[in-house]
Amino acid sequence: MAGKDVHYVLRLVAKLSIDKASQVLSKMVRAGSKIELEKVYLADISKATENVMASDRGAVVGAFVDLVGDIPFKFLFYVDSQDSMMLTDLILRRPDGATKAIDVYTMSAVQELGNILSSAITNVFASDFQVAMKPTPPKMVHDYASTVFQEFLMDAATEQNEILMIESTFRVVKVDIKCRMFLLPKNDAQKTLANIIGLN
Amino acid sequence: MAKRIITVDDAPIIRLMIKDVLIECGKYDVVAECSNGREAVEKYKELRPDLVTMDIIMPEMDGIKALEEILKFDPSAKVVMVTAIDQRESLMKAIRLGATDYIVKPFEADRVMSAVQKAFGESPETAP
Amino acid sequence: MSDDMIQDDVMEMLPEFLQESEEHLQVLNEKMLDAEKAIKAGAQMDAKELNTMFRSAHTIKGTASFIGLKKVVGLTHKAETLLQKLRDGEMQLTAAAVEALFASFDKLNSLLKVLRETKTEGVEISDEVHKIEMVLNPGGVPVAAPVAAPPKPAAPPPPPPPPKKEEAATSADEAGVNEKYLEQFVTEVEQNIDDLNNLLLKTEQEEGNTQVVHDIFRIMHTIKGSSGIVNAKPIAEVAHKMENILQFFRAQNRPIPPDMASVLFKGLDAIKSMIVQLRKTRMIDFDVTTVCKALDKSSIKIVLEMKVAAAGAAKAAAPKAVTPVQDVVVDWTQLPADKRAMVKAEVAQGKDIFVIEATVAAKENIKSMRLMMVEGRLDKNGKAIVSFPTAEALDATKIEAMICVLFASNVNEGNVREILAMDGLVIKTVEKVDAAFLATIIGDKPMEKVNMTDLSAAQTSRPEAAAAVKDEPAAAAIKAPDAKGGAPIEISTVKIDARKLDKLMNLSGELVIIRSQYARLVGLFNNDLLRQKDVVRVVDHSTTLLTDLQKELTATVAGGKNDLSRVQKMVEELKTSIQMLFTQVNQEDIVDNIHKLAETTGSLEKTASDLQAGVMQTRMVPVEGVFTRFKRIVRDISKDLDKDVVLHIEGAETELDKKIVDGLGDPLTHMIRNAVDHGIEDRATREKNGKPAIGMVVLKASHKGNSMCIEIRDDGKGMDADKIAASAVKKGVITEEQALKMTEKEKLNLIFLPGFSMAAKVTGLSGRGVGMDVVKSMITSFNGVVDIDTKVGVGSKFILKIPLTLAIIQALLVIIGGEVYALPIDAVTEIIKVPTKDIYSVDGNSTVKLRNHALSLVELEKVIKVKANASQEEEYKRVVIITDGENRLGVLVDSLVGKDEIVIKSFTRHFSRVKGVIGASILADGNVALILDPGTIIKESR
Repeated sequence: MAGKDVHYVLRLVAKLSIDKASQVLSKMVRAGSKIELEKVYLADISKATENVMASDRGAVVGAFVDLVGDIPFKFLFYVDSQDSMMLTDLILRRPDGATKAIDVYTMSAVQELGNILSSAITNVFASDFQVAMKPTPPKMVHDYASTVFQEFLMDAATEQNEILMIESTFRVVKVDIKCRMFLLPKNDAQKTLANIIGLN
Repeated sequence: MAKRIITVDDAPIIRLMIKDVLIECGKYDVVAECSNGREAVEKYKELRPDLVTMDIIMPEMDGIKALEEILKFDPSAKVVMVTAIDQRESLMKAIRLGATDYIVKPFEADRVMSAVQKAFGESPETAP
Repeated sequence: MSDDMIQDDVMEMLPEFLQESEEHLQVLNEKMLDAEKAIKAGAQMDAKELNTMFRSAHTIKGTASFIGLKKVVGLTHKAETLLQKLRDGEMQLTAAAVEALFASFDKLNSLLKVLRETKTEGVEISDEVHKIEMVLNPGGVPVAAPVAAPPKPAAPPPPPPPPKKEEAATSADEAGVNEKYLEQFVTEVEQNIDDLNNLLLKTEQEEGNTQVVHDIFRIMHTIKGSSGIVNAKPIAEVAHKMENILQFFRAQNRPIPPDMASVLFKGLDAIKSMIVQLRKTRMIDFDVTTVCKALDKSSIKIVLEMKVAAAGAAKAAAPKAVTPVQDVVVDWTQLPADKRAMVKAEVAQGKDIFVIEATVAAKENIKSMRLMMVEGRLDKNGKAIVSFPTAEALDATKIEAMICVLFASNVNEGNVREILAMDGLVIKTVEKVDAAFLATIIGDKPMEKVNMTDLSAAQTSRPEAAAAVKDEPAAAAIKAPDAKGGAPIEISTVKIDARKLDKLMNLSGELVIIRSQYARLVGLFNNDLLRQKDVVRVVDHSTTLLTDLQKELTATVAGGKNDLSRVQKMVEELKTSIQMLFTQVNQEDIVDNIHKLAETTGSLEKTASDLQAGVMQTRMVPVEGVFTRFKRIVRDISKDLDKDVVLHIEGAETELDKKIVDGLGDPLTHMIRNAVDHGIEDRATREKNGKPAIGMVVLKASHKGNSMCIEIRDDGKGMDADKIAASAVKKGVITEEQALKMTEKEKLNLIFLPGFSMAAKVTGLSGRGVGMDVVKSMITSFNGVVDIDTKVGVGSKFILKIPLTLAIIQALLVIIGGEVYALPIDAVTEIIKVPTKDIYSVDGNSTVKLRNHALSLVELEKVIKVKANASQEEEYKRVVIITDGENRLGVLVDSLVGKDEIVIKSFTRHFSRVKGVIGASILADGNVALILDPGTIIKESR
């Protein structure tokens, strides 16, 4: 099947996943979240890392999730350190500013968001594409965005210079929090995708 | 007497949310919090709670396996799955194994409350 | 005769076979014409072309053999043999061969026609078979000496320049073929190929033979292996791909279907060519890309079919759209017999019977889980006898859904509520059934034949958005065509261009996205705006339609099925639903979410439109399909009449809906025959008049706006309006008086009257009872019009204008007597405002002067059965001028609504008795507009 067909299906997958993820995020923080960015592209690894460095300068709290099943993906969700505390307040319905440190609850807030968002994406796979997928327990990090991103790309980077990437940015409007989400189809994912083209 | 509950989830924030809501109404005691399935089975055998809230995706032992083990140990155990996985396959598996009920994340806190009440046969309307 | 009958189980292959064979036959005819030209020019036909013809004949034979069409097989076999000999240079292409082949093609055509109509081979083929045999074995007469230069060798492409020996040796390791075992390899594979050919033919002839698949696989495997050893990479590649396909069938122990056999033949031919090259030049110079692509495509097709079959197995039981349920109303007295028996048994054991009603929360994504849990828990405490609705219907419902269960147990009501307490479910009622009602439920009704799984007799659901259509009787009328009853519809398949399929797939994908957006909106509604139940309901209904549509579309495309009529229906329903939604949304004055809904509806509408266009597009086929056969017809007729006429075709790539293309065949044939027969003069006359000796007939197709134009032009003697009028008077079709009053155009149009034929003598061709009146009515049945433009001595031109689709037209909406009517835009020439004082009366008809011509005006109610115009005392009257191609008529209207694209739903026979009305359409505001037929109106007004 032509490469363009795979790309098309991937765009479809991306749209649906990002759509669902933003809904679920909104529900979790009980505040509307807008999709500010959604892209599917062939990323040059070094350039992509540069871009992340440029747009997300400081430290972030992030969750890595491995999506396993018929079509393996890697998932990354992170939010600025300051914002992560605000997110925790929202989720726990605490007054603004109640969470003052990156404590166990902040970490687990981002962790759970990673879990819920990545689960939502696997739910989309199951219901819209009849593809069985499940997330694995998230792995947490608290580091500079570029470092987090590089770790995310690590396995892929050793094998290729360019990778297919699904990227999105959500903005929780009420509190002006920016969250980033990345989906990376693993190597054989593309081949499997090609096999399910045309099916639902 | 307050009913005794164990919450199981690998995210502390979720355990906190659930605990807050259950304790608030004063009828339930959270007697243990576990962060994975293995701990959950151990604690269950040790404490014999009245109900367990169980996440599915966890390290070391996932919620489905833990559910299985717990029910093997105590077929009358009440286990309410609290999970982000809204897929027929997983849910069916849990229900068939014998889970009492399931709630899908993200949830409103009071849904947990009402699900627990229902599991105890107290309909929210008639609860004191 | 049973010999001619086809087995039932292969009957379903017949339509596709017929269509494919017709296409192949066209190719054969076309190429034969080229061949004839070649002979005339003193050359021979290119072997490649002959091979194409051979393959076409071969393919027809293959499938025919599979179905069991002995006569088709017999005929095509002879043709194929002759073509093969011609291709391989064993025989010369002569006029006799051409005639014999043409004759066989014609007979084949007749066979196909008879098959289509009677499903039997009720035609004799012996003559044509004999003709070919005579060419093959001219009975002792040696093969005719070649007329032209000695023939070029047939088949493989010319050998490349002999390779340098050193290069061959050194490149052996990398790209070159290993010389050492070359001789052995080539000999072996040559034998293998012969065996494979025979075996593949066997699979075509013995349909159920699975053993032969194993043999074929084994040989293929050997070829793959040995070609690898000698480093004959291209051969190995093709063999490998063929082996993959074969492996599938071998593993499943299935016979090879004809389409797969065709592809395998292709592969085999490629390998054969390469082996020939190897033998001649010790090198392979062959581009295997095309063949590999074809093999890949087939492989993927197999995988897809498997997956679709697996996925479809679950859905197979419910092909129609699942109605989402809300407010399920169950009539417990209508249970099927087995369920009644169960109730009876439980009651006999002293159990109480409960009716339980509960609602499943809207936001539950997998509602059937809850139903399953309910039944599970009930079964632990008694017996859940029967429940409604079905799991599929439940899951299709995006809003709050109700479930009902009949439960037998000894527990009490309070217990039941406790037992069923769970998340996502609200128990509405738990009622013990009293003895009296129990008796009715069990009741000894006579056993009706009821499908065990079909509980629909008991369950009804309140009609959904469909009921929002205001005009109930009209709605019922519109639903009528969808209902079963009437003659079974013949499904004609359309081969779909891959690009069109892609487009459909893309749209299908977009639908998925929009569907999810809809789901989200429904969720929002449920949370924030519970009172907007109506909007929610329609959104929900639309979402369901979308889901089903998208699944149906994907399955159709992936499964390679070509019947898009169901998809088309669904798209129409969807559009209607969306239009209604739009109306509702615009009427409510609310918030943010409604805006979002409007946006989504907007994009959905666009997608649905695109989808509809896409589906329409797939039904569009180039007119070439119909046009090319005319070349043959013109050739035949001109030969018979001893005239020299050539047919030119312009715009063959223009596309039309397949139905129209098929239907145009006969009318066009007749008109072209007319052109050659009556139009083009004989050689002598043409010379005398300084015209070129060869007569010209031009068939031109083009798009003009929303219509397709087909022109038939000839440079013959033209039509004399007065002569026509005179002839008409003589036949008593019109009176002399009438003739005097007629314009030139009106006189020309007399030829469209029944029973009119200009032929001075019946030439056996055009005069054979099919008159221009029949032609005209055929064209009118497509909502088309035909116009004549002619000049005596110069030529004639017939212009057909046909709206591009049958189902969607651009219409002008007008209001007459308070009702909305639609007039097809094509028939509207002008809209004018006429000062009332300028209207005068002529012979009792209202008339107005428009640019020096008198225009008749009419109030519609005086012509056809409609309401009267609103009586208005106004200075101006609004007039819509309509035409039927020849005449104009001004229709007085109360007011104009505007232009719109409407979907025509034609009436069933029942309603078509209403003269002047050809259908109805639901407008965006939910009103029903009757579509008027300009032709009839004009006719009735005279």
